Amino acid sequence: MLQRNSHAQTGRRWWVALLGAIGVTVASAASGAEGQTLAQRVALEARVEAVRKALQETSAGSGTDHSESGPHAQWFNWPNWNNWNNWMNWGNWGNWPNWFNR
Amino acid sequence: MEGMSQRVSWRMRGKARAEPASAYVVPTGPGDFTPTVWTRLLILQPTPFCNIDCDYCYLPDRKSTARMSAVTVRLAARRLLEDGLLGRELTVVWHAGEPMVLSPAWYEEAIEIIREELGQQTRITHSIQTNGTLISDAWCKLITRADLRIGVSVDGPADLHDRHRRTRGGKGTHAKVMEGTNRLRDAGIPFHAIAVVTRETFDAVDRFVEFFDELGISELGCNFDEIEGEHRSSSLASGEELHRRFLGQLLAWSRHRSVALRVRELILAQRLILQGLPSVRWQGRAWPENCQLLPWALISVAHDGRFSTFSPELLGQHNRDYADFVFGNVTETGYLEAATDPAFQRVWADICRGISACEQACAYFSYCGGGSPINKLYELGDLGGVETLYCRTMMQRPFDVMLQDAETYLVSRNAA
Repeated sequence: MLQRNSHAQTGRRWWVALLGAIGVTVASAASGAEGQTLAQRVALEARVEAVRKALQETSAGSGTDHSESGPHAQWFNWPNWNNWNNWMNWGNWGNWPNWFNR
Repeated sequence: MEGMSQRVSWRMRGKARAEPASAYVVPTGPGDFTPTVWTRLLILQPTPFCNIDCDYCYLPDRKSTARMSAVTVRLAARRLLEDGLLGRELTVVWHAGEPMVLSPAWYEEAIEIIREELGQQTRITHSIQTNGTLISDAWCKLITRADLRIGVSVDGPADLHDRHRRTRGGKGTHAKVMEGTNRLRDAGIPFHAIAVVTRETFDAVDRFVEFFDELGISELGCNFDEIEGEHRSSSLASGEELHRRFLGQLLAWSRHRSVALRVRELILAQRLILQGLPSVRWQGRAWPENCQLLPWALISVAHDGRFSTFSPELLGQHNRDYADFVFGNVTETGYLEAATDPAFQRVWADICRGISACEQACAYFSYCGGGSPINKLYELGDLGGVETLYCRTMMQRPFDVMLQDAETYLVSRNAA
């Protein structure tokens, strides 16, 4: 258990560092306000990617079905009416660990 | 990785040029996009009339008792089929004004008409968002029989709700809403709730949550008093950090063992973090999909057949530059003919300008796709604008709260 955890932790550190390095490289290529936005977007997307990968690594299973990730009607804050009762249904996200419900 | 490479390509694009409206290609139909656009929501406004007078309401003409005819209902549905806009599923949303001022019998006929026109081609779901003051036993029977999805607009306990949601005579409506929700519960009908939160809500978070939990609500949407239409200011304009704290408190409550409440904005943010947005290709490049910015994805039809697309709240908003956002009438034309309408073309050009501006200026673009036109219009006076209070409140802050929560969770797991 300790070995697996430390390996996973090392793995996460490796690609988080890589994503960060990519972000710094790209951001430094732009300048001014545009560069600032670019840097912010890179940083934000790197954080999201890191979370996704970390959650995948801690997921209970694989083969997660994301077919429900259809377009979401974002007007007037309606939920995804296509699956009205399912937009809250954690189970539709397959084997993602439900960190929301911890 | 494909999604990542797409995001990288967005970042590497050059600075957007300030292009004239004529430079934007006008779509001619759903096939101009990849995947082909299909209508997710058909929003039908059976009457402009509302029996109450909430002080933050953006709707114009809510004293008008005009109503949609059966012919208009039929044509509103039929045009989708004629124009090739049907997907596997369609949600018909009855909205704008208070839908329940029309009788259950009226809806029974309307639902049957739509079933006749489209029932063989797509799976239809009907949804009603009601102020909750007119829920009768007859309504409960129809809701059950027709499997209607019901949402009730209620702002929390009586002192919060009645502050803003009153009759034209100035009386609070909370007691009436509770009568209605009790009928729904007695009939075993599930329903979600949408609350409009204001600065006053932030001082009463615990009571706010306890109220919805006792009501049996497990799905709660938290709107805010937006600057929109006739409503010209927002209590959140000077309370954004309070709202951020409010979201954190809602998240903490949602984790409470005895509370079943889940907050829509937080759920959607989690979904964005985990799955991102689908992309749509237009004119050779990919964009994150935002249905408010995709022509014909959301179609709104007024009681007299006038129709619009993009943000549903646009229909009926008086605006000379954009011809009140009316792009046609179902009694005369189909939806696709909107593309030939000069007002549509102006709106489309300015929406495209807004998408480009967001791409250049917003770190959250990949998870949003370009904001909300109705809010850009009323907050910034420009469909081509960028960040709004709506963006920060309904997208960025929930996203930030959930992303930080995920990171904290992962750190704590790692430390365990």
